Amino acid sequence: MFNGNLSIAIDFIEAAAAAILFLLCSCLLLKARNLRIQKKKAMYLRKHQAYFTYLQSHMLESDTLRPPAGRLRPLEQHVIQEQLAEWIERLSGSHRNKLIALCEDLGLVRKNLKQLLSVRTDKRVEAAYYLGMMRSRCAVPDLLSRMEMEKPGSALFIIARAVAKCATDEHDVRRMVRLLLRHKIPAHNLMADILRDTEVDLGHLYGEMLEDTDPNAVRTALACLENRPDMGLSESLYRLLRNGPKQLRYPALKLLVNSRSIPLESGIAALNEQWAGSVHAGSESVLHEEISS
Amino acid sequence: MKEILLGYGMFAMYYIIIVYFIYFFILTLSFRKISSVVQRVFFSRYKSLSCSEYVPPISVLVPSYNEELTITESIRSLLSLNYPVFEVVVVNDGSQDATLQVLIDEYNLHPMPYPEEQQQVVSSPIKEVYHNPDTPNLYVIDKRNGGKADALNVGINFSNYGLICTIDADSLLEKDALVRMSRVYMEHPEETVAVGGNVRIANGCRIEGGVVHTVNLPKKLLPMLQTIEYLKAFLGGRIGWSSMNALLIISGAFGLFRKQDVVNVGGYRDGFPGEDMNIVLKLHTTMLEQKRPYRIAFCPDAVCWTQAPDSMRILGSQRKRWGRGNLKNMWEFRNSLFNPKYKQIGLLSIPYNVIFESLNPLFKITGLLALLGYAMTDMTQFHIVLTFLSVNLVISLLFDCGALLLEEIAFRRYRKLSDLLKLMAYSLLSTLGYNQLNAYWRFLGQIDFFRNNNTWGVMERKSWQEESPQAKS
Repeated sequence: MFNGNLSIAIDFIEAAAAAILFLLCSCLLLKARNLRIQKKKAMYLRKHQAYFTYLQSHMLESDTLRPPAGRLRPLEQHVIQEQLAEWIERLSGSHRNKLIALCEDLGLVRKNLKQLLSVRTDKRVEAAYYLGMMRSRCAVPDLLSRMEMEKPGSALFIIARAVAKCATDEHDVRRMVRLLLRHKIPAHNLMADILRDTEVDLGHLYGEMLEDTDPNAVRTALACLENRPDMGLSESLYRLLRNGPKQLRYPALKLLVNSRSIPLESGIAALNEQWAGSVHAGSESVLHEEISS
Repeated sequence: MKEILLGYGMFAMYYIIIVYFIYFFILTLSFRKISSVVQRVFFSRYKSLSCSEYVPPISVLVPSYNEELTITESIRSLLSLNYPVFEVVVVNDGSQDATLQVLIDEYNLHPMPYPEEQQQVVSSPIKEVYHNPDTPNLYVIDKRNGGKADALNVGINFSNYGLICTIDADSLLEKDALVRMSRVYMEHPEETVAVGGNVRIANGCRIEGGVVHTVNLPKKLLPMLQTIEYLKAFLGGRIGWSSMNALLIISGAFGLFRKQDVVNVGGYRDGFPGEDMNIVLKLHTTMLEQKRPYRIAFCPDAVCWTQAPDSMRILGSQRKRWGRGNLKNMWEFRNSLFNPKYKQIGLLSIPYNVIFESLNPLFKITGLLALLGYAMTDMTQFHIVLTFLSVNLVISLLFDCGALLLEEIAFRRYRKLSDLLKLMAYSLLSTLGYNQLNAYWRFLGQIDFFRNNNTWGVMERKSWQEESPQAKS
C-alpha cells in the first residue's frame, strides 16, 4: 500500500519533470527566436536607412515612390511595412496617399489579404491591422467577411477599426456597424472611437442610427455626436427627445443644447416637462454646468 | 505513532498533488487566454486611444502613509501618463514623516476651498485640500490617520469621475497603463465593474523622472525571488482566473473600479488587512446576489512597477499580513463557500482559496514535519522526505516555467537571454527554501488572525534613486 503510494508520487514527479523540461525548452527556443528576429529587424532597419531617407525626401514630389531595390525577404518586408504603416498613420493628404500606393506596389496589401485567410487568429488579426493602417480600399469586402465570422472580443474590434480606416463608402461603414451591433455589446464609446478613424462622411448613417429601434445603435450614434454636435441631425434628436426611451432623452437634449439647436433655458424647460421637474433637478445643474463649461 | 506520521505525510503529499492539478488547470486557461491578450497588446493603437475624446475620464487615488522617499517620483509618473482626462487625488493618511510637505514644496500647492463632503461612502473628515491651478489635475488631501481603506474612501468621496483607479504611493505606472486598462473597460462598459493591472518588481530597473527606462532584473536575492513569484501569480494565475470571471483579488497596487459599484457595496472596509481582496469579494457577491451581469477583468499588459521588500523582516511582515488578510476575508465570506447562488465564486474560487491557498502553508509545513518525524524513527525511510520535497519542487517549478513561457509569448519585458536563464535558475532556488519560508510566514499570519491582530506590520520605503542602478553610479 505504502510502496504503491510512493510509486504514484514518483510517477507524478517524473511526469512533472518531463513537462518542466518541455516548458523550459519552449521558453529558451522562443527567446532565441525572438532575439534572432529582433537582431535581424535591427539589421534590416540599418540596411534600408538610405531607402527610408529617400522616401522622406521624395514625399513632396509628384513622382510615385519607387520600391527598394532587390528582392525582399519576408522579415525585411515586414520591417518596411511597419515603418510605412507608422508614417501613414501620422501623415495625411497626398503624402499618405503616396505611401498607400507604395504599399500596394510593394505587394504588402496582397500579402496581408492572403494572410487574412490564415487559420491562425493572430495572423488574421495582424493582417487586418496592417490592411487598416495601409487604408487598403480593396480589403474592405474581405475584412467585412472576416468580421462576420469573428466572435465578440478584441479581435472583432481590431478588424472593425481596420474597416473604418479602409472604407471609402458609407455603405461599408454601415455594414461594419451592423456587424458590431449584432453582438449586442454596449461598447458605444469604443465604437464611436472606431468610427472616428473613418474618412467617410457619416452624417446620414448617424441619422439612421438615431432612428433605429436598437437602443445600442442609438446610443452609439449619440456617443459619436457628443463631440460633433453640428451634423444637422436636430430633427432626429428632437424626435428622440419627444418619443425616445427615457434614458436616451437626456443625452439627446444635451446634444441639442450643445449644438445650439435649442437655448439652454428651453432645454431645462424640456427636462422639467419630461420628468416633472424635481426628479431631475440634478440633471438640470449638470446640464447648466456642462453647457457653461 | 509511526503509521500516523506516515499516513499524515502521505495525505499532505496527495493534497499538494491535487493542488498541482488545479494550478495546472488555471495555467492552461491562462495559455488559452493569452492569444487574445497578444492580439490586444500588439494590434491596438494605444497612441490614438490615449488622445481620444471617447475614453472615459479616471480619478487616480493614491493613499499615502509615510511615503516621503517615493511620493515625488510616483506622482511625477502619474502626471505624465498618456491619458486624455484624469485627475490624481493623493490622500495623505496622517503621515508622520514629511510626505505632505514634500508634495506641497514640489508642486507649490496651496489650500483650496473644497465642497461640503458628499459622503458617498463612510470616511474620516478631510483636514485640508491642497491644489495648484498650474497643475490642475493634482489634488492632495490631508486627513488624520485612519488606515489605507479609509484613505481610499476619502478619495472616492472627493473624486470627480465615474472610474477610479487605486494605486500604491510606492508604485510607478507605465505611460500607457491607464489607457490599456480603459480599453478593456470600453469593450464591455456596462458589465465591467473592475479591471486589475499587472504588478511587476521595479528593483534593479533604471528609473528616471518617475519612468522605468530600462527593465533589469533585481540584483538582490529577495526581490529576485519575488519577481518570479509575481510573474507566477499575475500571468500564470490571474489571467486564468479572470477568464472564468472568478478573480478574487485585484492588487491594491493597481486596479480600476467603476465608482458607483464600489459606492454601492459601501466602499473599502476600514481596519482590514486584505482590503483589496475584500472589495473584489464584495463586488462579486453583491452583483451575484442582485443577479446583475458583471465582469471583473484582468489586464496583464497594463503594468505598474513596485518596490519589493529586500529584507527578511519587511518581507516577512508583508507575507504575514497577506496570510492574515486572506483568512480574514475567507472567514467573512464563509457563507459563499460551496453556495451555488455565488456561482463561479462560491463553487470555485472561494473553495479553492480556502482549501488550497489558506490551508496550503499548513499542510506543506506539517506534512514535512510529519515525514521528518517518521524518517527520524527509521532513517532507511528518509527517501520519503525527499519524495515529498521533490513533489513540492516540481509543482513550483512547473508553474514558474509556465509563467516564464507566458511572459515570453506575450510581454518579453526581460530582453536578454541571460535574464531568462537567471529567472530559471532563481525559480529553482525559490523552491529550495524561499517557498517554504513563504509558507511559514503565511502560516504565522494565520495564527495572527486567530489572535485578532489587526495591525499593518512594518513597512519601509526606499527612494527610487536609491533603487535605480544608474542613479547610484
